Amino acid sequence: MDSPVAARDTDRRTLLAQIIGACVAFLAALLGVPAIGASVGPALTRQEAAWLTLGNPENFEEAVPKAVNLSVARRDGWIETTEVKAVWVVRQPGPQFTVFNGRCTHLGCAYSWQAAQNEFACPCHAGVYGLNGGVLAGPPPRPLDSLPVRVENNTLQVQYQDFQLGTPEQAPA
Amino acid sequence: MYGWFQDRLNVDLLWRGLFIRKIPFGVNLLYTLGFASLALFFVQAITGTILALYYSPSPDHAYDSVEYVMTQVPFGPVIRGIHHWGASAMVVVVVLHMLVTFGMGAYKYPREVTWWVGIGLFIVTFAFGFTGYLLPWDEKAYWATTVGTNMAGTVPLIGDFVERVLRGGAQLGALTLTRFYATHMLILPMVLVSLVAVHLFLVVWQGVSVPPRLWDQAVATFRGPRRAQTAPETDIEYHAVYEDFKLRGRRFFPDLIVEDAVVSTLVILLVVGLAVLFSTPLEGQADPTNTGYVPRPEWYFLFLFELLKYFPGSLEWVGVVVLPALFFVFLVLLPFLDRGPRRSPRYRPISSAVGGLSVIAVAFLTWHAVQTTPPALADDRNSRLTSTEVLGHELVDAQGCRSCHVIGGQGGQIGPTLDGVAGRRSAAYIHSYIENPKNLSPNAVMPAFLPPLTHQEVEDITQYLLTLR
Repeated sequence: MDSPVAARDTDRRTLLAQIIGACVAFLAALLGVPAIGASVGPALTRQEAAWLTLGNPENFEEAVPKAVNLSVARRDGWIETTEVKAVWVVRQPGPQFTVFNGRCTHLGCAYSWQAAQNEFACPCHAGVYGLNGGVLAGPPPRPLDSLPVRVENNTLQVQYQDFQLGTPEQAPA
Repeated sequence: MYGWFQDRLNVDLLWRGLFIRKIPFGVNLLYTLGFASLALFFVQAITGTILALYYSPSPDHAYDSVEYVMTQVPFGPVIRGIHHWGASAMVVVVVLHMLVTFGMGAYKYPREVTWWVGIGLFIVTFAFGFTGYLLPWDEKAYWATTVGTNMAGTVPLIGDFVERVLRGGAQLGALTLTRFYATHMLILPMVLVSLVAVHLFLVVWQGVSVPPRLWDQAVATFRGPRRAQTAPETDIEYHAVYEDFKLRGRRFFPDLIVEDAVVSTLVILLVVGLAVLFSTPLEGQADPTNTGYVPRPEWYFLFLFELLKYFPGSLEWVGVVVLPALFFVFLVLLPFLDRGPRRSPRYRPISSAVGGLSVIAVAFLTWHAVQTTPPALADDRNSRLTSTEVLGHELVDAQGCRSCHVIGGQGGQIGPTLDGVAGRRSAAYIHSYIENPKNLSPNAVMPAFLPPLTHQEVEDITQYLLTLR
């Protein structure tokens, strides 16, 4: 039996249920948007790497790689730490500069320039690279990682970053 | 899909029992305060969880982590703002809910247990506030908690023990912060959820009370004109009258829950609005040497803070322990103290008087506390000497340097004035010069001081001289 009272009641109940639904949806959005934004936010922001000074370009001899220790500041949330990172600077005619990340692309050991053999050698697993960073021998899966470099105000500068190790494709760490 | 769940869980029975149950006739908007309390707790839980993703509970990092939330996290200030204003809102709503329940005499038969659980919830709400506002480790947090834990120490016999347990040791420090954090994040939520579960179960199991005036009239009608109104209703009378009210009442869903939903939405909207419009305060980082700071607890503890001013010295524990204890004993015993036949506040003069006076007293004490807040005392931290400098000062006096040099505006003119020497000479130069002036200035008249002084003593003098302006 569908009396007018019963029908009105059903309509009223449906309207009230919709109001409740609207309140719930509104609150979910009002609280959900900031909540999700705050939870996810910092994961998505990428730190812009600073330009670090390597020194006067004249200090570097052509075709003679030179190691430089950099103090890299790292922001970990609200904590700022400085780490010392090594890079190899190679000067070419021009002058052009190539700066290699100091970690061997195989497993991250510190490699060094062997002047007698005219090559970079890694002591861990006998990886060997040429002056241009290309792999000459051993297990390294890709050439040495080069970093963005520029000369500004007569100063050689580099943007330091680390890359994933052991992969044939270069990818940020 | 509904059928799948229905076959296994009998959701229909659950639905009808929880949501289609009848709510007694006469229930009005004042009854939405309980649901609003719960809604605010959910808001606090959500925003608190987000804040916990970033907060670090150690004195070295707490402040920086909160600043990180305020400056680097998207929506960080809003989330913290909601949590801050939500805390105050929750105290207000919980107190209002308690006052309405008290006013309606809803602590009487058969809801005594619900009332007692409610007292527990009231205490937990204030405990959340107390443990929460230490966490930013700013000046207000540090000093308010110092005062708060000192107050606990005034309890006779066990005061010292209680104070140490609260602080995790003799001093306010890392251990205090971690245990306040653990309490705020783990212990209190567990206690609150358990109490809320019992409280809600009882409310559904027994049904909400009927507004007192309606109830009294109905009981009187049920008893008839010749039965006297000298005793509260018997349980048979109660159930008969209550069933009638339910019969004439509305369904919980959607008729009453819509009131809950709308009121809670408005309250939350107000909290979010306040959070967006007003920035949450974060004072300077906690500094135990700041003697200029005027400690104050959060507003909902101000009345207690003010009350203690009237209990000097040895009587302080009366204000800290005895009065609050009496208050809670009164609340717990209330169902037994108030056995009057009527529920309407008009016919419960003692309860109404005690309740009214308490509200007025708390309001007055809070207002008075705000009025009598002294201005910040002079902050002389920048002009204080360190202990090294104090030693240096004493050495300078003992060695008679002023016979040749002006120091602090007074002294001889034989050598150059040493006021402001920090701007003219380096610390190393000053130190070396004092040790043996002829090393740096071959024609110096000044005697060497190493010996008779030691290297450390010369260093202390140097540090003191560097402070001279």
